[in-house]
Amino acid sequence: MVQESQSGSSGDAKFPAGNVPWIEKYRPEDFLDIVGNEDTVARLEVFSRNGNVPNIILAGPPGVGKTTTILALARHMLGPAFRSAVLELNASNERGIDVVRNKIKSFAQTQVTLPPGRHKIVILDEADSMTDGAQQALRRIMELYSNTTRFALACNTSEKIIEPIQSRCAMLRFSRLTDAQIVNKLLRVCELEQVSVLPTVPVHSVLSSHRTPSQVSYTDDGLEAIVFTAEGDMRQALNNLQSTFRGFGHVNSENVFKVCDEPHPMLIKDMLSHCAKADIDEAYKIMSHLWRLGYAAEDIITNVFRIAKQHELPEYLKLEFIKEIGYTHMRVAQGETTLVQMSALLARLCRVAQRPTN
Amino acid sequence: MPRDIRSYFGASSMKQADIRSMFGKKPSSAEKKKAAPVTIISDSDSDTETQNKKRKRPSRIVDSDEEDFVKKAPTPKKKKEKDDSKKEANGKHLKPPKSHADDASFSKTLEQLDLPPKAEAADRSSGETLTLAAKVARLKGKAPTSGAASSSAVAELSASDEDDGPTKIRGDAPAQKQSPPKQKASEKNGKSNKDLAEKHEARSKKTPEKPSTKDAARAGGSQVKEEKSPKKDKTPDKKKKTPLKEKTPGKRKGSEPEDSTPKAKKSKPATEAATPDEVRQKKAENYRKFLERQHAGPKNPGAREVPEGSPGCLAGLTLVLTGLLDSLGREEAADLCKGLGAKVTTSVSRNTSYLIVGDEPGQSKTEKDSLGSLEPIRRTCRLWSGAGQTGSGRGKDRSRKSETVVQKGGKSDSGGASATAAAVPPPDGVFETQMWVDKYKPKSSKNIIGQQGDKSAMNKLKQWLQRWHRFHSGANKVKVKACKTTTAHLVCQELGFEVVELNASDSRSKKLLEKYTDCLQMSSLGHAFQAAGSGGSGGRLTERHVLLMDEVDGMAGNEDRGGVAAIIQLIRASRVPVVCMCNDRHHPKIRSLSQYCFDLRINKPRLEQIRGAMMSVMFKEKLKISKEQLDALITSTNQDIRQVLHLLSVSAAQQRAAPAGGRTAKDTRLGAFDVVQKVFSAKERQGMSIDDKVRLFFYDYSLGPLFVQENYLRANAHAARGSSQKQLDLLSQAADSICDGDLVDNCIRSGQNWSLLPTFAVYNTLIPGELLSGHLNGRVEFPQWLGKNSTRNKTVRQVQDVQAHMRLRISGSRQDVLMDYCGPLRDLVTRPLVSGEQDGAAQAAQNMFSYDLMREDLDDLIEIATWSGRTGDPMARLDSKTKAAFTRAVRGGHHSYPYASIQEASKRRKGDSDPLLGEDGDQEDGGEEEQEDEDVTKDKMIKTRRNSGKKGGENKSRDI
Repeated sequence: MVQESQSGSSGDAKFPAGNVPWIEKYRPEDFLDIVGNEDTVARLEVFSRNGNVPNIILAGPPGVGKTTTILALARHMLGPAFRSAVLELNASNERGIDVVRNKIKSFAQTQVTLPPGRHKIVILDEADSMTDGAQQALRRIMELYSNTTRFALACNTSEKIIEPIQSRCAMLRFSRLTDAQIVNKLLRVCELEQVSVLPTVPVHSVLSSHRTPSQVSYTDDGLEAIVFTAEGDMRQALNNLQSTFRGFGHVNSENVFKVCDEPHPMLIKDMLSHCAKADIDEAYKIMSHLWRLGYAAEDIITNVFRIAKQHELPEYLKLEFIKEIGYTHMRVAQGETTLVQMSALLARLCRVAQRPTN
Repeated sequence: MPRDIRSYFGASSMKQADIRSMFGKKPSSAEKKKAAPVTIISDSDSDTETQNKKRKRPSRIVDSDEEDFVKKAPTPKKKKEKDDSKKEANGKHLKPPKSHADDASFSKTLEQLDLPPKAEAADRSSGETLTLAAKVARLKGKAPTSGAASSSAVAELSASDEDDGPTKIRGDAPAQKQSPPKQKASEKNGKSNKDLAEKHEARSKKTPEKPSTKDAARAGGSQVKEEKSPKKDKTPDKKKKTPLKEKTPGKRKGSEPEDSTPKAKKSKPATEAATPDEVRQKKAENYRKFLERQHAGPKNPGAREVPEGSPGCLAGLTLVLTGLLDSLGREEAADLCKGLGAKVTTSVSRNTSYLIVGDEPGQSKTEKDSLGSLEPIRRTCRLWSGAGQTGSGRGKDRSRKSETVVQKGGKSDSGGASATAAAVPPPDGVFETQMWVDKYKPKSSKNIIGQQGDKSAMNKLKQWLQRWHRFHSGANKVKVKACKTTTAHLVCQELGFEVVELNASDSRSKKLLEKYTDCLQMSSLGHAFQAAGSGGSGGRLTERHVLLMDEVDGMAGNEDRGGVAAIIQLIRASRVPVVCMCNDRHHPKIRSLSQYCFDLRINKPRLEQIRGAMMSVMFKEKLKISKEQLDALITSTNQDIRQVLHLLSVSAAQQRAAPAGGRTAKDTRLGAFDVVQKVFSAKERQGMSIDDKVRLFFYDYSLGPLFVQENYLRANAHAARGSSQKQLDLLSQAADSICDGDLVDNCIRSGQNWSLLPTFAVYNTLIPGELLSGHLNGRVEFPQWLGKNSTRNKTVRQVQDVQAHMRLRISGSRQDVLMDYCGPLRDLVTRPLVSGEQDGAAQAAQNMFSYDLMREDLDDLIEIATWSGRTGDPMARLDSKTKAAFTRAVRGGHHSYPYASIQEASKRRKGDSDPLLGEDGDQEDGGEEEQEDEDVTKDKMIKTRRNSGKKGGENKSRDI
């Protein structure tokens, strides 16, 4: 159940030893290992035991485990027949109409001996990038060969999937992971990578050679920072962890933000506190500092928004702040990405803070 | 009994609409609209025919169901009315859309078709004196306006059948009995023998003509209540069933129509509200089902091999059988058990060791069982896994999927089949191989949900197919996904056609289709034809083939280039009926196709119908979902049956995983409704952080905001504390916020700025939720915006078309057309028709020409000129002759239009004498947009006379 800890030397054939991306290394193989969306995963787990899974569409934001789940399902259901009974096509394969009509259709027609109740599976990853025509061609195939072949589609936005296909499939939605889930997984990965907990005193890292296990130290605020930047996306979190570790060896919040290149949340938090006190000068200082550091307006504003949601402000003020930030965000998205706009935001926030409450 | 039948025929042939109007109730407009297929022709016909019926039929109103037969006492009229209201509104569309003149031939066809099934029926019901078929025929002969009345009677039969839809989906034995094409003949014979045996023991009470009724009427193109009839027929013949029968002797009141009965099914007898009425009805329902089952026998006789058990392996056990076993008749099962040494009793008692439960177990037995500690061994209709037999009577766990062993091979279940059966231990994984969608696929045309609409559509399809050879008309086009493929298949099968199917998965380019055209013309075997899977037809394309072109609107891409044009050519040249199916009637590709086709719309089934069917499915699959959740589920999928089934199957898995808790997790489709509740619910919001509240939005960030916008007015804010002024203030602020959200949404969609999603969440969900936090009054409604949006798109397109056509004559913009021109224009064209009837046609056509309008533009014009509350469509009041004259005048008017008509984008080969002419059928009008050939004679804009005769003629015949 727990992944064998690979110390790099036994890496996959694809990756040179020692440089295995952790997202692939720790990709869950079993349903129990999949983090997040427990309900949906549990349902699929039932199918993997009993067979007879219907056609499914998994929809959700990136990095929450859609592809992993499908692969786990296929592996569990089919066992040794996995290679021959599964056809996987993602956005890097040709998936035009011709391919659908020929390749997929012939796969659906081929005979593969399977235990009863099991079907061949066609996995269509990133299905929302399939053209409409290809999807049209798919519909009848799904119906005609449903006795022997089931389809599993994964996509980000289910709107791109045409309605007839949606009607032929059960739609399962994946949602973003919670912070707690991400932290748990990160901790587990750190263990497996033999990362040790250290107090906030940084330790000079030992750059890993592919023989010796690496010593990575992490701190709590480092993990927090990773979770903050990940925003419910496990892949992002693992990548950040690995990059920070590779780059600096020591995972603390400073390093994380250096790697992820986001304005440091503490700065933004201070800025917002100043606004709440209607102190425009201090707030502006921070903003211009961030600006000088070279951050784009888009980044700043997204972070301001995220932090504002968690900031300790009185409720009514928080809502007003969020509203104002939203308006500015729209303007930024439409192209007004200047310092003036950002400063105007601060000014409005201060003004709102100054107003007496309703 | 005969009296009942006749009165049934007499009275209940009244349409639903009539019944209601007799009570002064009008069918709701929604129902009417939904059930209305759109063919211009049928309107006037059905109007007059409805009039006819009203005058003819006696006023005695009977619940149009077979319930009549079971009823001993007439149920109060109020209840009937209520029941009626559950039924489909629009009976009038059951009428065949053909003109009166054809009805005679129609009834003749019916009678012809009566004959073979009568022979079958005679088989099954030997010993019955008067077959219902004969009665039907007699009635038909007697009816004054033979065509109208009989077809209406027959159609009415079918109308009253609509409620069978839901239960049919269960694939009950009766339904199975009704699909003879699917069964082997020997099976039927075997079953009929068994039926005979049953009957001999039986104390038959009811008229035994029901089986034949079914066949006769069904063959006649409409449906009969099969299921209902068996229950009438059949008797508690099996001795083991006597206890059950005695328990429900006098309770045979008319049960409610099928819509409600599935809900009242035995699945939760204990949980139903215990009003005496309901209990009685339930029992009646149970009894009816029981009778059905008795008559029907096993569902799949001979479907499985009966393994041999070692003698005496069941020794010492006392078994009770209940329910409908899948492939064994009750007697055979009993024999089997006895042969292996078990003792078979008829009621559950202390000594009973196992209760063998089939489908729909007897209520009394299972109730008793629940008190005891027996483990029902459930038999399923699924794959047999072929486990061993020895000692099989013991040690079963309470798995819901224990296997059944079936009859010996050899499909005949002639009564003496000494099959040995044993209850097989559930193997470690009992596997279903079918998705629910397939499992519950309707097996006969009677199973299709939404039968009212489907019935009419299906009836039309049937009739169209039957008459095809007379008319040589083109194809038949059906709309959106309410089982249209299944419908078409089943109809064709039932009428004995062989189906050749081409769908979006096959290349349908012009070249390939031309090959088909050749085949169809020459009625000889071509390679391409074989490839399409005409398979067992053995070669020659006979009259009995039908070409199904599925998913016509999916023709796209390189492979299908020129496809639609080729289809049209195919249609014109074909000797077999061609049925085209598509989703979107207004798709540009389809529009050109549609002139060559008889337009047949299939509407989405209604909520109640789906609900009924789904309840039965759920019962079969032992799934527990509350009614409200089911309703929400159905609405959220927009009445898409397939999707509902899929979602149910997924939640079934969920429930099996966690059988203890009810619904442990939310399926997001359900969630949209729940999410909105949460958004506005003060209780829930207390525990949530801002992040959580924002997360609510992300459950479904395309539908969620629409839900909020639809329902925020229903929120009752606690902050308002009853002061309506404050409530209004809060509503206003919430509305502002939602508007802001809309602006953000626009920004997101247009610029792909997905990073704005959280902002959208805040404006749309967080702030209104905060402001109006309290509780929601009433039900959560599905957003209407989606429907209105599509209407809007359609209107925009129509205005665009009309304005483009009128470009040379008027200088107005689209706004002008919509606001100023369309009303007067419509009047200008229709007034001569209304006042002058056929003579006005020329004038009206002239008016059209003066604005360069085509025939189709008038329809568009009328639609956009319709505002609610104003007078309806003036064309509707015209009779068909006038309309036909008008169409003729416009089409044949030799007006040269200054524009080329819209064709699908397809490259025509050079010099191709394209059969696709301008929409008015004249050669000189813009055929092609791309003129590759500079040859003057081939220039489409130049008037030539070649080929115009035949095509014009064909087109004209189609117009009518």
